[in-house]
Amino acid sequence: MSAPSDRLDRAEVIERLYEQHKQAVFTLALRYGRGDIGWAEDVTHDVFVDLFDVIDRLADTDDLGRWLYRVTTNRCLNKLKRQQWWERPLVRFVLRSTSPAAGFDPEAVTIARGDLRNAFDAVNQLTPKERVVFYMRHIDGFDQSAIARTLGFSKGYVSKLLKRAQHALERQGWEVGDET
Amino acid sequence: MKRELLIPLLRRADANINSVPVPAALENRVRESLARAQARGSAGRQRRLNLVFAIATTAVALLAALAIEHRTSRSACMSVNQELMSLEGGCTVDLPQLRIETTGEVHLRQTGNGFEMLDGSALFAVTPVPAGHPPLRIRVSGGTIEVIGTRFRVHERKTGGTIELMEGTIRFIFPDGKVSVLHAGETLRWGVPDGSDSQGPGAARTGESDRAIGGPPAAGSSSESSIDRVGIEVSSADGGTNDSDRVTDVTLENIEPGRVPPAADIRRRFDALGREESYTEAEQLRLQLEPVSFELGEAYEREHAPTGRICAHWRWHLQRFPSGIYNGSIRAKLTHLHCPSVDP
Repeated sequence: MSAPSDRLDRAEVIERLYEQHKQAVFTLALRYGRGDIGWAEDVTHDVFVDLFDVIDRLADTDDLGRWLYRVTTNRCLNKLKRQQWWERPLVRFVLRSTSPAAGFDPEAVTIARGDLRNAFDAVNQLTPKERVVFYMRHIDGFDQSAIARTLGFSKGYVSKLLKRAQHALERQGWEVGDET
Repeated sequence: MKRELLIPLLRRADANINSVPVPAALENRVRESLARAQARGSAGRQRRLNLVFAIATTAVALLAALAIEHRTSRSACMSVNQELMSLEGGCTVDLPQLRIETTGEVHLRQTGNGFEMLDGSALFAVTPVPAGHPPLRIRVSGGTIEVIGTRFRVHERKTGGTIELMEGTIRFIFPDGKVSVLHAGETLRWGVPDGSDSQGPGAARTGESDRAIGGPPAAGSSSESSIDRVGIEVSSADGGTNDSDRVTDVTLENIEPGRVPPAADIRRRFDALGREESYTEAEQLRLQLEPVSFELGEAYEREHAPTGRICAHWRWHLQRFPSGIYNGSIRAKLTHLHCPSVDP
Protein backbone atom coordinates (compact mmCIF):
# COMPACT_ATOMS: atom_id res chain seq x y z
CA MET A 1 0.00 0.00 0.00
CA SER A 2 1.34 3.44 -0.90
CA ALA A 3 2.10 6.08 1.69
CA PRO A 4 -0.70 8.53 0.71
CA SER A 5 -3.32 5.83 1.00
CA ASP A 6 -1.77 4.90 4.35
CA ARG A 7 -2.33 8.40 5.55
CA LEU A 8 -5.82 8.46 4.10
CA ASP A 9 -6.64 5.27 5.94
CA ARG A 10 -5.18 6.64 9.09
CA ALA A 11 -7.30 9.81 8.98
CA GLU A 12 -10.41 7.74 8.42
CA VAL A 13 -9.49 5.51 11.35
CA ILE A 14 -9.02 8.51 13.60
CA GLU A 15 -12.35 10.00 12.59
CA ARG A 16 -14.05 6.71 13.36
CA LEU A 17 -12.28 6.48 16.70
CA TYR A 18 -13.20 10.08 17.41
CA GLU A 19 -16.87 9.22 17.04
CA GLN A 20 -16.47 6.29 19.40
CA HIS A 21 -14.44 7.97 22.13
CA LYS A 22 -15.07 11.70 21.87
CA GLN A 23 -17.60 11.78 24.73
CA ALA A 24 -15.32 9.98 27.17
CA VAL A 25 -12.35 12.19 26.35
CA PHE A 26 -14.37 15.40 26.41
CA THR A 27 -16.03 14.52 29.71
CA LEU A 28 -12.73 13.73 31.33
CA ALA A 29 -11.30 17.01 30.13
CA LEU A 30 -14.38 18.91 31.25
CA ARG A 31 -14.07 17.40 34.72
CA TYR A 32 -10.42 18.33 35.14
CA GLY A 33 -10.92 21.66 33.41
CA ARG A 34 -13.32 22.79 36.14
CA GLY A 35 -16.25 22.70 33.74
CA ASP A 36 -14.60 25.02 31.20
CA ILE A 37 -15.99 23.84 27.84
CA GLY A 38 -13.43 25.68 25.73
CA TRP A 39 -10.63 24.20 27.82
CA ALA A 40 -12.08 20.71 27.39
CA GLU A 41 -12.47 21.23 23.64
CA ASP A 42 -8.79 22.11 23.32
CA VAL A 43 -7.73 19.02 25.22
CA THR A 44 -10.00 16.74 23.23
CA HIS A 45 -8.76 18.19 19.95
CA ASP A 46 -5.11 17.78 20.95
CA VAL A 47 -5.63 14.20 22.15
CA PHE A 48 -7.05 13.07 18.80
CA VAL A 49 -4.37 14.92 16.82
CA ASP A 50 -1.81 13.12 18.99
CA LEU A 51 -3.57 9.90 18.22
CA PHE A 52 -3.10 10.53 14.51
CA ASP A 53 0.69 10.58 15.03
CA VAL A 54 0.86 7.43 17.14
CA ILE A 55 -1.96 5.26 15.89
CA ASP A 56 0.41 3.14 13.82
CA ARG A 57 2.50 2.41 16.89
CA LEU A 58 -0.39 1.40 19.11
CA ALA A 59 -0.27 -2.34 19.37
CA ASP A 60 -3.93 -2.90 20.12
CA THR A 61 -6.63 -0.42 19.19
CA ASP A 62 -9.12 -2.50 21.16
CA ASP A 63 -7.43 -1.13 24.24
CA LEU A 64 -7.64 2.39 22.92
CA GLY A 65 -10.01 3.47 25.68
CA ARG A 66 -7.31 2.94 28.29
CA TRP A 67 -4.73 4.75 26.12
CA LEU A 68 -7.08 7.70 25.65
CA TYR A 69 -7.83 7.81 29.38
CA ARG A 70 -4.12 7.88 30.20
CA VAL A 71 -3.20 10.45 27.56
CA THR A 72 -6.16 12.70 28.33
CA THR A 73 -5.50 12.61 32.06
CA ASN A 74 -1.83 13.39 31.63
CA ARG A 75 -2.55 16.12 29.10
CA CYS A 76 -5.05 17.69 31.50
CA LEU A 77 -2.57 17.44 34.35
CA ASN A 78 0.19 19.09 32.33
CA LYS A 79 -2.16 21.81 31.14
CA LEU A 80 -3.33 22.44 34.70
CA LYS A 81 0.25 22.65 35.94
CA ARG A 82 1.14 25.16 33.25
CA GLN A 83 -2.01 27.07 34.03
CA GLN A 84 -1.13 27.03 37.72
CA TRP A 85 2.08 28.89 36.90
CA TRP A 86 0.23 31.49 34.83
CA GLU A 87 -2.30 31.86 37.63
CA ARG A 88 0.31 32.88 40.17
CA PRO A 89 -0.57 36.32 41.59
CA LEU A 90 2.76 37.85 40.59
CA VAL A 91 2.55 36.55 37.02
CA ARG A 92 -1.03 37.69 36.71
CA PHE A 93 -0.09 41.09 38.10
CA VAL A 94 2.81 41.43 35.66
CA LEU A 95 0.73 40.28 32.68
CA ARG A 96 -2.37 42.12 33.86
CA SER A 97 -4.33 38.95 33.11
CA THR A 98 -7.88 38.30 34.19
CA SER A 99 -9.30 35.50 36.27
CA PRO A 100 -8.54 32.07 34.83
CA ALA A 101 -12.01 30.72 35.58
CA ALA A 102 -13.64 32.99 33.02
CA GLY A 103 -14.64 30.07 30.78
CA PHE A 104 -16.58 28.24 33.46
CA ASP A 105 -20.33 28.18 33.00
CA PRO A 106 -22.11 26.13 35.73
CA GLU A 107 -25.39 26.20 33.85
CA ALA A 108 -23.73 24.79 30.77
CA VAL A 109 -22.32 21.86 32.69
CA THR A 110 -25.60 21.31 34.53
CA ILE A 111 -24.19 21.38 38.05
CA ALA A 112 -25.68 24.66 39.07
CA ARG A 113 -27.48 23.07 42.02
CA GLY A 114 -25.95 24.34 45.25
CA ASP A 115 -24.63 21.21 46.90
CA LEU A 116 -23.23 19.68 43.68
CA ARG A 117 -21.65 22.97 42.78
CA ASN A 118 -20.10 23.23 46.23
CA ALA A 119 -18.63 19.74 46.00
CA PHE A 120 -17.27 20.42 42.51
CA ASP A 121 -15.76 23.73 43.64
CA ALA A 122 -14.20 22.12 46.72
CA VAL A 123 -12.30 19.57 44.63
CA ASN A 124 -11.32 22.25 42.14
CA GLN A 125 -9.50 24.07 44.91
CA LEU A 126 -7.03 21.20 45.23
CA THR A 127 -3.72 21.38 43.42
CA PRO A 128 -3.78 19.85 39.91
CA LYS A 129 -2.03 16.66 41.00
CA GLU A 130 -4.18 16.25 44.09
CA ARG A 131 -7.33 16.85 42.08
CA VAL A 132 -6.50 14.34 39.35
CA VAL A 133 -5.41 11.68 41.83
CA PHE A 134 -8.49 12.27 43.98
CA TYR A 135 -10.86 11.88 41.00
CA MET A 136 -9.07 8.77 39.77
CA ARG A 137 -9.28 7.16 43.18
CA HIS A 138 -12.75 8.15 44.38
CA ILE A 139 -14.76 8.63 41.19
CA ASP A 140 -13.05 6.34 38.66
CA GLY A 141 -12.24 3.72 41.28
CA PHE A 142 -8.59 3.08 40.46
CA ASP A 143 -6.33 1.69 43.15
CA GLN A 144 -3.14 3.50 44.04
CA SER A 145 -0.93 1.25 41.92
CA ALA A 146 -3.01 1.88 38.81
CA ILE A 147 -2.99 5.62 39.43
CA ALA A 148 0.78 5.53 39.89
CA ARG A 149 1.23 3.64 36.61
CA THR A 150 -1.08 5.95 34.69
CA LEU A 151 0.54 9.17 35.86
CA GLY A 152 4.10 7.92 36.12
CA PHE A 153 4.27 8.60 39.86
CA SER A 154 5.44 6.32 42.62
CA LYS A 155 2.79 4.60 44.68
CA GLY A 156 4.05 6.38 47.78
CA TYR A 157 3.66 9.74 46.09
CA VAL A 158 0.10 8.89 45.05
CA SER A 159 -0.69 7.94 48.64
CA LYS A 160 0.77 11.23 49.83
CA LEU A 161 -1.26 13.22 47.31
CA LEU A 162 -4.44 11.42 48.36
CA LYS A 163 -3.80 12.15 52.02
CA ARG A 164 -3.08 15.80 51.27
CA ALA A 165 -6.25 16.07 49.21
CA GLN A 166 -8.31 14.45 51.94
CA HIS A 167 -6.91 16.77 54.61
CA ALA A 168 -7.51 19.81 52.43
CA LEU A 169 -11.12 18.83 51.81
CA GLU A 170 -11.72 18.04 55.47
CA ARG A 171 -10.36 21.45 56.36
CA GLN A 172 -13.07 22.86 54.08
CA GLY A 173 -15.65 20.99 56.17
CA TRP A 174 -16.27 17.97 53.94
CA GLU A 175 -16.50 14.35 55.01
CA VAL A 176 -14.35 12.42 52.57
CA GLY A 177 -14.45 8.97 54.14
CA ASP A 178 -11.54 6.64 54.59
CA GLU A 179 -11.30 5.11 51.15
CA THR A 180 -7.64 5.92 50.56
CA MET B 1 -22.08 19.88 63.20
CA LYS B 2 -22.47 16.99 60.81
CA ARG B 3 -20.19 17.14 57.83
CA GLU B 4 -21.58 16.64 54.35
CA LEU B 5 -20.39 13.57 52.44
CA LEU B 6 -18.36 14.72 49.49
CA ILE B 7 -17.96 11.62 47.32
CA PRO B 8 -21.67 10.97 46.56
CA LEU B 9 -22.15 14.62 45.61
CA LEU B 10 -19.05 14.55 43.47
CA ARG B 11 -20.28 11.42 41.69
CA ARG B 12 -23.53 13.13 40.84
CA ALA B 13 -21.74 16.23 39.66
CA ASP B 14 -19.53 14.04 37.49
CA ALA B 15 -22.57 12.28 36.08
CA ASN B 16 -24.00 15.65 35.16
CA ILE B 17 -20.76 16.57 33.42
CA ASN B 18 -21.02 13.28 31.53
CA SER B 19 -24.26 14.42 30.08
CA VAL B 20 -22.76 17.57 28.52
CA PRO B 21 -22.64 16.89 24.78
CA VAL B 22 -19.46 17.36 22.79
CA PRO B 23 -19.82 20.63 20.87
CA ALA B 24 -20.47 20.00 17.21
CA ALA B 25 -17.87 22.57 16.26
CA LEU B 26 -15.20 20.42 17.83
CA GLU B 27 -15.75 17.69 15.30
CA ASN B 28 -15.05 20.08 12.43
CA ARG B 29 -12.01 21.43 14.21
CA VAL B 30 -10.61 17.93 14.74
CA ARG B 31 -11.38 16.97 11.15
CA GLU B 32 -9.55 20.04 9.82
CA SER B 33 -6.55 19.36 12.01
CA LEU B 34 -6.45 15.75 10.90
CA ALA B 35 -6.59 16.89 7.28
CA ARG B 36 -3.67 19.25 7.89
CA ALA B 37 -1.75 16.50 9.65
CA GLN B 38 -2.49 14.19 6.77
CA ALA B 39 -1.15 16.76 4.29
CA ARG B 40 1.97 17.31 6.30
CA GLY B 41 2.57 13.63 6.78
CA SER B 42 5.78 12.70 8.41
CA ALA B 43 7.62 15.59 6.76
CA GLY B 44 6.02 18.03 9.13
CA ARG B 45 7.01 15.98 12.11
CA GLN B 46 10.52 15.75 10.78
CA ARG B 47 10.59 19.51 10.26
CA ARG B 48 9.52 20.02 13.86
CA LEU B 49 12.25 17.69 15.05
CA ASN B 50 14.77 19.51 12.86
CA LEU B 51 13.65 22.81 14.30
CA VAL B 52 14.01 21.52 17.86
CA PHE B 53 17.44 20.12 17.00
CA ALA B 54 18.50 23.41 15.42
CA ILE B 55 17.34 25.39 18.45
CA ALA B 56 19.11 23.00 20.83
CA THR B 57 22.32 23.14 18.78
CA THR B 58 22.23 26.92 18.67
CA ALA B 59 21.67 27.08 22.41
CA VAL B 60 24.60 24.75 23.08
CA ALA B 61 26.82 26.75 20.73
CA LEU B 62 25.85 30.00 22.43
CA LEU B 63 26.56 28.54 25.86
CA ALA B 64 29.92 27.24 24.67
CA ALA B 65 30.79 30.62 23.19
CA LEU B 66 29.82 32.35 26.42
CA ALA B 67 31.89 29.88 28.43
CA ILE B 68 34.92 30.41 26.20
CA GLU B 69 34.43 34.15 26.36
CA HIS B 70 34.14 33.88 30.12
CA ARG B 71 37.35 31.88 30.35
CA THR B 72 39.47 33.93 28.01
CA SER B 73 38.30 37.47 28.47
CA ARG B 74 37.26 37.97 32.04
CA SER B 75 37.68 41.63 32.19
CA ALA B 76 37.84 44.76 30.10
CA CYS B 77 41.33 45.36 31.50
CA MET B 78 42.56 42.11 29.99
CA SER B 79 43.32 41.49 26.36
CA VAL B 80 44.13 38.10 24.93
CA ASN B 81 46.10 37.66 21.75
CA GLN B 82 46.46 33.94 21.09
CA GLU B 83 48.44 32.69 24.11
CA LEU B 84 49.62 36.10 25.24
CA MET B 85 47.62 37.89 27.89
CA SER B 86 48.09 41.55 28.65
CA LEU B 87 46.68 42.91 31.88
CA GLU B 88 46.51 46.56 32.72
CA GLY B 89 47.49 47.88 36.15
CA GLY B 90 44.82 47.57 38.84
CA CYS B 91 43.19 44.75 36.98
CA THR B 92 41.56 41.76 38.70
CA VAL B 93 41.02 38.65 36.64
CA ASP B 94 39.21 35.56 37.92
CA LEU B 95 40.14 32.37 36.18
CA PRO B 96 39.32 28.81 37.21
CA GLN B 97 41.39 28.11 40.34
CA LEU B 98 43.24 31.40 40.04
CA ARG B 99 42.78 35.10 40.72
CA ILE B 100 45.29 37.60 39.39
CA GLU B 101 45.45 41.14 40.76
CA THR B 102 47.87 43.42 38.99
CA THR B 103 49.58 46.48 40.36
CA GLY B 104 51.16 47.42 37.06
CA GLU B 105 50.97 46.23 33.51
CA VAL B 106 51.54 42.48 33.34
CA HIS B 107 52.19 40.19 30.41
CA LEU B 108 51.54 36.48 30.74
CA ARG B 109 51.79 33.64 28.31
CA GLN B 110 49.59 30.59 28.76
CA THR B 111 51.52 27.33 29.04
CA GLY B 112 50.43 23.74 29.40
CA ASN B 113 49.44 23.81 33.02
CA GLY B 114 49.81 27.42 33.98
CA PHE B 115 51.47 30.62 32.83
CA GLU B 116 54.77 32.16 32.07
CA MET B 117 55.08 35.60 33.60
CA LEU B 118 56.97 37.76 31.15
CA ASP B 119 56.99 41.02 33.08
CA GLY B 120 55.07 43.09 35.57
CA SER B 121 53.90 42.77 39.13
CA ALA B 122 50.89 40.76 40.22
CA LEU B 123 49.32 39.03 43.16
CA PHE B 124 48.30 35.44 42.51
CA ALA B 125 45.69 33.72 44.67
CA VAL B 126 45.41 30.05 43.81
CA THR B 127 42.57 27.93 45.14
CA PRO B 128 43.68 24.55 46.51
CA VAL B 129 44.30 22.06 43.76
CA PRO B 130 42.47 18.76 44.43
CA ALA B 131 44.67 15.88 45.53
CA GLY B 132 46.06 13.93 42.63
CA HIS B 133 45.84 16.86 40.19
CA PRO B 134 48.96 18.55 38.89
CA PRO B 135 49.90 21.83 40.55
CA LEU B 136 49.56 25.16 38.80
CA ARG B 137 52.90 26.21 37.35
CA ILE B 138 54.01 29.80 36.84
CA ARG B 139 57.27 30.17 35.02
CA VAL B 140 59.46 33.14 35.81
CA SER B 141 62.92 34.01 34.59
CA GLY B 142 64.52 32.46 37.69
CA GLY B 143 62.70 29.12 37.50
CA THR B 144 59.22 27.69 37.90
CA ILE B 145 56.81 28.21 40.76
CA GLU B 146 54.61 25.22 41.57
CA VAL B 147 51.52 25.98 43.57
CA ILE B 148 48.82 23.80 45.03
CA GLY B 149 46.92 26.66 46.66
CA THR B 150 48.25 29.81 48.26
CA ARG B 151 48.74 33.56 47.76
CA PHE B 152 51.90 35.18 46.60
CA ARG B 153 53.12 38.25 44.77
CA VAL B 154 55.51 38.07 41.86
CA HIS B 155 57.57 40.95 40.52
CA GLU B 156 59.19 40.12 37.23
CA ARG B 157 61.61 42.56 35.63
CA LYS B 158 64.27 42.41 32.99
CA THR B 159 66.95 42.27 35.65
CA GLY B 160 65.33 39.54 37.74
CA GLY B 161 62.42 39.27 40.09
CA THR B 162 61.01 38.40 43.47
CA ILE B 163 58.32 36.20 44.96
CA GLU B 164 56.72 37.24 48.22
CA LEU B 165 54.81 34.34 49.71
CA MET B 166 51.92 35.34 51.94
CA GLU B 167 50.53 32.03 53.04
CA GLY B 168 51.16 28.34 52.72
CA THR B 169 54.11 27.00 50.80
CA ILE B 170 55.19 26.93 47.21
CA ARG B 171 57.82 24.89 45.46
CA PHE B 172 60.40 26.64 43.38
CA ILE B 173 62.10 24.65 40.66
CA PHE B 174 65.44 25.96 39.54
CA PRO B 175 66.41 25.93 35.88
CA ASP B 176 68.64 22.91 36.58
CA GLY B 177 65.68 20.94 37.99
CA LYS B 178 66.52 21.24 41.67
CA VAL B 179 63.61 22.00 43.97
CA SER B 180 63.13 24.04 47.10
CA VAL B 181 60.17 24.90 49.24
CA LEU B 182 59.36 28.47 50.15
CA HIS B 183 57.36 29.20 53.31
CA ALA B 184 54.86 31.86 54.24
CA GLY B 185 56.48 35.20 54.94
CA GLU B 186 59.57 34.46 52.92
CA THR B 187 60.74 36.39 49.90
CA LEU B 188 62.74 34.87 47.11
CA ARG B 189 64.82 37.02 44.78
CA TRP B 190 66.59 36.11 41.62
CA GLY B 191 68.63 37.81 39.01
CA VAL B 192 69.09 36.71 35.45
CA PRO B 193 71.89 34.15 35.30
CA ASP B 194 74.12 36.27 33.13
CA GLY B 195 72.72 39.53 34.45
CA SER B 196 74.79 42.59 35.08
CA ASP B 197 72.16 44.44 37.07
CA SER B 198 73.09 46.70 39.90
CA GLN B 199 70.25 45.28 41.99
CA GLY B 200 71.59 41.82 41.62
CA PRO B 201 70.75 38.95 43.86
CA GLY B 202 70.97 39.76 47.47
CA ALA B 203 71.85 43.35 46.88
CA ALA B 204 68.71 44.74 48.45
CA ARG B 205 68.44 42.28 51.31
CA THR B 206 72.00 41.71 52.34
CA GLY B 207 72.09 40.70 55.96
CA GLU B 208 68.39 39.83 56.06
CA SER B 209 68.73 36.41 54.66
CA ASP B 210 68.13 33.73 57.23
CA ARG B 211 67.82 30.72 54.96
CA ALA B 212 69.04 29.92 51.53
CA ILE B 213 66.51 27.72 49.89
CA GLY B 214 67.45 24.61 48.06
CA GLY B 215 69.94 23.24 50.51
CA PRO B 216 71.42 23.26 53.95
CA PRO B 217 73.83 25.85 55.11
CA ALA B 218 76.57 23.28 55.04
CA ALA B 219 79.20 24.06 52.44
CA GLY B 220 79.59 21.98 49.37
CA SER B 221 76.00 20.99 48.72
CA SER B 222 74.87 20.82 45.15
CA SER B 223 71.94 23.14 45.73
CA GLU B 224 74.16 25.90 46.89
CA SER B 225 75.93 25.88 43.60
CA SER B 226 72.59 26.28 41.86
CA ILE B 227 71.80 29.21 44.09
CA ASP B 228 75.04 30.84 43.09
CA ARG B 229 74.31 30.33 39.44
CA VAL B 230 70.92 31.95 39.39
CA GLY B 231 71.50 34.27 42.28
CA ILE B 232 68.74 33.21 44.61
CA GLU B 233 68.29 34.70 48.02
CA VAL B 234 65.55 34.09 50.54
CA SER B 235 64.80 36.53 53.28
CA SER B 236 62.42 36.49 56.18
CA ALA B 237 59.28 38.57 55.93
CA ASP B 238 60.19 40.39 59.13
CA GLY B 239 61.55 43.32 57.27
CA GLY B 240 61.01 42.36 53.71
CA THR B 241 57.41 42.22 52.65
CA ASN B 242 54.79 44.87 52.68
CA ASP B 243 52.62 44.47 55.74
CA SER B 244 49.50 45.47 53.89
CA ASP B 245 49.94 42.50 51.64
CA ARG B 246 50.44 39.99 54.41
CA VAL B 247 47.48 37.92 55.42
CA THR B 248 46.77 37.10 59.01
CA ASP B 249 44.58 34.07 58.34
CA VAL B 250 46.90 31.34 57.22
CA THR B 251 44.73 28.67 55.74
CA LEU B 252 46.87 26.10 54.01
CA GLU B 253 49.60 25.80 56.52
CA ASN B 254 49.49 26.95 60.06
CA ILE B 255 52.71 28.84 59.74
CA GLU B 256 53.08 32.37 60.97
CA PRO B 257 54.90 34.68 58.61
CA GLY B 258 58.43 35.41 59.67
CA ARG B 259 58.70 32.39 61.93
CA VAL B 260 60.65 29.27 61.18
CA PRO B 261 58.09 26.46 61.15
CA PRO B 262 58.38 24.03 64.04
CA ALA B 263 59.13 20.38 63.45
CA ALA B 264 55.54 19.44 64.30
CA ASP B 265 54.22 21.53 61.41
CA ILE B 266 56.73 20.13 59.00
CA ARG B 267 56.01 16.64 60.26
CA ARG B 268 52.31 17.13 59.53
CA ARG B 269 53.08 18.21 56.00
CA PHE B 270 55.53 15.37 55.62
CA ASP B 271 52.93 12.84 56.77
CA ALA B 272 50.32 14.29 54.44
CA LEU B 273 52.65 13.97 51.46
CA GLY B 274 53.46 10.42 52.48
CA ARG B 275 49.78 9.52 52.46
CA GLU B 276 49.49 10.69 48.86
CA GLU B 277 51.93 8.07 47.72
CA SER B 278 49.23 5.86 46.27
CA TYR B 279 47.92 8.41 43.82
CA THR B 280 50.80 10.75 43.16
CA GLU B 281 53.28 10.20 40.41
CA ALA B 282 56.49 8.83 41.84
CA GLU B 283 58.65 11.58 40.48
CA GLN B 284 56.31 14.30 41.63
CA LEU B 285 56.15 12.72 45.04
CA ARG B 286 59.90 12.54 45.25
CA LEU B 287 60.18 16.19 44.33
CA GLN B 288 57.61 17.19 46.91
CA LEU B 289 58.55 14.85 49.68
CA GLU B 290 62.31 15.19 49.46
CA PRO B 291 62.65 18.87 50.40
CA VAL B 292 60.03 18.49 53.12
CA SER B 293 61.87 15.50 54.51
CA PHE B 294 65.07 17.50 54.49
CA GLU B 295 63.33 20.36 56.25
CA LEU B 296 61.99 17.96 58.84
CA GLY B 297 65.46 16.63 59.61
CA GLU B 298 66.76 20.17 59.93
CA ALA B 299 63.88 21.05 62.23
CA TYR B 300 64.71 18.05 64.44
CA GLU B 301 68.27 19.31 64.67
CA ARG B 302 67.19 22.86 65.37
CA GLU B 303 64.86 21.73 68.14
CA HIS B 304 67.55 19.46 69.60
CA ALA B 305 65.61 16.25 69.13
CA PRO B 306 67.30 13.10 70.42
CA THR B 307 70.29 12.22 68.28
CA GLY B 308 68.92 8.74 67.61
CA ARG B 309 65.79 10.20 66.13
CA ILE B 310 67.70 12.63 63.93
CA CYS B 311 70.02 9.88 62.75
CA ALA B 312 67.08 7.58 62.03
CA HIS B 313 65.41 10.28 59.95
CA TRP B 314 68.53 11.05 57.94
CA ARG B 315 69.11 7.36 57.32
CA TRP B 316 65.50 6.96 56.17
CA HIS B 317 65.96 9.94 53.88
CA LEU B 318 69.09 8.48 52.25
CA GLN B 319 67.32 5.16 51.68
CA ARG B 320 64.14 6.77 50.33
CA PHE B 321 65.97 9.21 48.03
CA PRO B 322 69.21 7.46 47.04
CA SER B 323 69.95 10.11 44.41
CA GLY B 324 68.57 13.04 46.39
CA ILE B 325 69.99 16.49 45.95
CA TYR B 326 70.66 16.91 49.67
CA ASN B 327 72.47 13.64 50.18
CA GLY B 328 75.99 15.13 50.33
CA SER B 329 74.92 17.43 53.09
CA ILE B 330 73.06 14.68 54.91
CA ARG B 331 76.05 12.35 54.88
CA ALA B 332 78.13 15.15 56.37
CA LYS B 333 75.50 15.57 59.07
CA LEU B 334 75.53 11.84 59.83
CA THR B 335 79.27 12.03 60.29
CA HIS B 336 79.04 15.17 62.38
CA LEU B 337 76.41 13.60 64.65
CA HIS B 338 78.44 10.38 64.91
CA CYS B 339 75.44 8.42 63.67
CA PRO B 340 76.11 4.70 63.29
CA SER B 341 76.78 3.78 59.67
CA VAL B 342 74.08 2.07 57.72
CA ASP B 343 74.19 -0.42 54.92
CA PRO B 344 73.10 0.97 51.56
